[in-house]
Amino acid sequence: MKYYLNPLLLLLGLLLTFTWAEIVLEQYFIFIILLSMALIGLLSIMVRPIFSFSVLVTFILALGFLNVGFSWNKHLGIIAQGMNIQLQVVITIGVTLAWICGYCLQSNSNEIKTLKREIERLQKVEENTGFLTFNEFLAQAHLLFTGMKRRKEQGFLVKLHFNKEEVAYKARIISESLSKIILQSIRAEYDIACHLNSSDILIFLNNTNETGVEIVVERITRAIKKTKGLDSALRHIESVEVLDNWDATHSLIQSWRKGEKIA
Amino acid sequence: MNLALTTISIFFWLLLLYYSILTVAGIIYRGQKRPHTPLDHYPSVSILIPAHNEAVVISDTLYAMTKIKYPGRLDIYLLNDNSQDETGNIASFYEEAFDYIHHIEVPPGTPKGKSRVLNYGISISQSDYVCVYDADNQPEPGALQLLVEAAETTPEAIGAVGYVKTINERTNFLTRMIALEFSSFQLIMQSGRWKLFKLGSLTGTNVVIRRKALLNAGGFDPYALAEDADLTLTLTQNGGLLPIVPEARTWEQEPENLRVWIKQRTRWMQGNLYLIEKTLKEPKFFKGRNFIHSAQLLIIYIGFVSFLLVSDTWFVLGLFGKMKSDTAVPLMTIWFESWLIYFIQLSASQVIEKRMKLSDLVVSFLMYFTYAQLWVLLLARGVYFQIKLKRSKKEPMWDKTVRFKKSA
Repeated sequence: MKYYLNPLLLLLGLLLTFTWAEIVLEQYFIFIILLSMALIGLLSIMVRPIFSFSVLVTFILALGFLNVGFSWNKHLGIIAQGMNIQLQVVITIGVTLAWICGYCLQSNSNEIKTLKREIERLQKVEENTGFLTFNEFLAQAHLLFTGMKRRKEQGFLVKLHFNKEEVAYKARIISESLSKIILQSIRAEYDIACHLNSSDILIFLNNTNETGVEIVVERITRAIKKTKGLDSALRHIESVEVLDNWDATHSLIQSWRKGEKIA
Repeated sequence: MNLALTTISIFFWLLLLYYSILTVAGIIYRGQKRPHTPLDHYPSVSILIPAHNEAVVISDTLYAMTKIKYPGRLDIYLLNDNSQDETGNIASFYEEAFDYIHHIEVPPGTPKGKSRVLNYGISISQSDYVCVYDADNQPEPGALQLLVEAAETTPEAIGAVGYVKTINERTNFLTRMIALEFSSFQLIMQSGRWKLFKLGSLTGTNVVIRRKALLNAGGFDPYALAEDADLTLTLTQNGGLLPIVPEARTWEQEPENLRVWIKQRTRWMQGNLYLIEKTLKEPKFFKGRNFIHSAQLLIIYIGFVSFLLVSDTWFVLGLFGKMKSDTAVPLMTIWFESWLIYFIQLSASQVIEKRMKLSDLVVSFLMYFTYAQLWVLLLARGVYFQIKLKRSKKEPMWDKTVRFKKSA
């Protein structure tokens, strides 16, 4: 199929069809061709390809039956039949090309959406805040967790809940400032952080204890209070020691992401 | 002359209308998303593989069988019909390696052929469903599960029919044409018939049938050379449905030269002529949903070929100026539309499978003038051999399709 989606070939096909139509057909028929092409093209963009394809096939077949019916009824001679077949061929090629164009647009658009989703999934760091993306956070947290358990160390998950800023331009600045404070307050080489959702931030502190957690929380709270515009942003902080197995830890993080509280 | 031509043309035009509607219905059915419906309990299945001198292909077939993923109990029976080549050794090797593969030596008997071997397989196996694969088939791992799920979840179903694809499609023009024919007429037409009339036809391979329904039908008719079409009529007459499952695919080797193809298709033609005779003798085959099956047999093997002959004669006479072109029937337009519909059917199946290449388009373009015309020859051969068989009062001879070695 890819072969037929070559834009150059499509353009060439359309140009040839129009030229052919212009040479052999009357203005009235050219209008019919354009209208049919527009309708089929539009349909192929709007609905699932298989359904627009079934409409295309129905249209082509119906045109054929119409042609036979007309030729039969009018007792057309061989020359007139040939002219009608020519008209039918031009319309058929035109609508098929229009369908291919629509199909091409729709499949390209779907491909772009899929690629964007894939890029999002593969992206490791949020461009503006420097936080890890959620998927990357989970991947790195898993590695940290495995090493930590092997070395029999303690680790903590800290969730910071903020007031949600509804105004977009304010939210962006607040988010960036908060991220900056958090990244400066944790050990950049050992600890990791990410956005859980639009109002929660999660930090994974490894190889530390309750006192270490308190120090980090204190550092963050102090910095937030000092920063203009952020003083009332922080609502509360929850921290929990990392559980014994990764599946349970993973489930806890996922439930926090959905906004559930610790039982 | 004009009246005869008009009658035939009207008949043919109605036939084309029927096929056009089937095409659109088939495309719609193929496009519909069918949710996967896993079962709580998977019934037991016996796969029957009749084999007579199949050493060239059987190891690949059995290897593919070991890859089948089926959650229920599965037994695979290689029914060795007196093979004189390596088939038995290969089957024994697989029997030793896999406890669910069984090498069964079928006792000699008559009439020779697939039906008798399959009936023997049914008699020695015990399972809820019987599945048939030809000896050159390589089903996809999930095919059997999909077939059983369709058979179990479709109301009134007594089995299910999958899709047969061509494994050696790229070998030459002939295999490419066969592949195009299969994907179009077998799949789109089958899907269309199922969508419109809830009718499915057994394809001889990649099918599952409930054992009870199979036994009620009396098993396979050992005298039928087209045992699949024959059994379809009996099962439909008994009231069972055979849903079409395009997603359940098997890959099959097709004849790589014209001689083998003609022999194979002559056997099919003879089988269908036998069936036409059978249906004409028994009016019950024209009742209920079987009417479509039986009418279609007549339409394809008598109606279609008749028009093909008329169309060709008209074309040749026209070329030599012996036929007046301005007749009451717009023959040129009908002739063009016949080709167009044939071409659309072939192309549509390729578009649905998202695999159309320029070569496929060219082959589809030419098939009406080449491949389709061979029907006349097949019908002539089929009629000749069937009459010869009747006169000799001998049992039908199963002309086994020659297999081809995989090119390196």
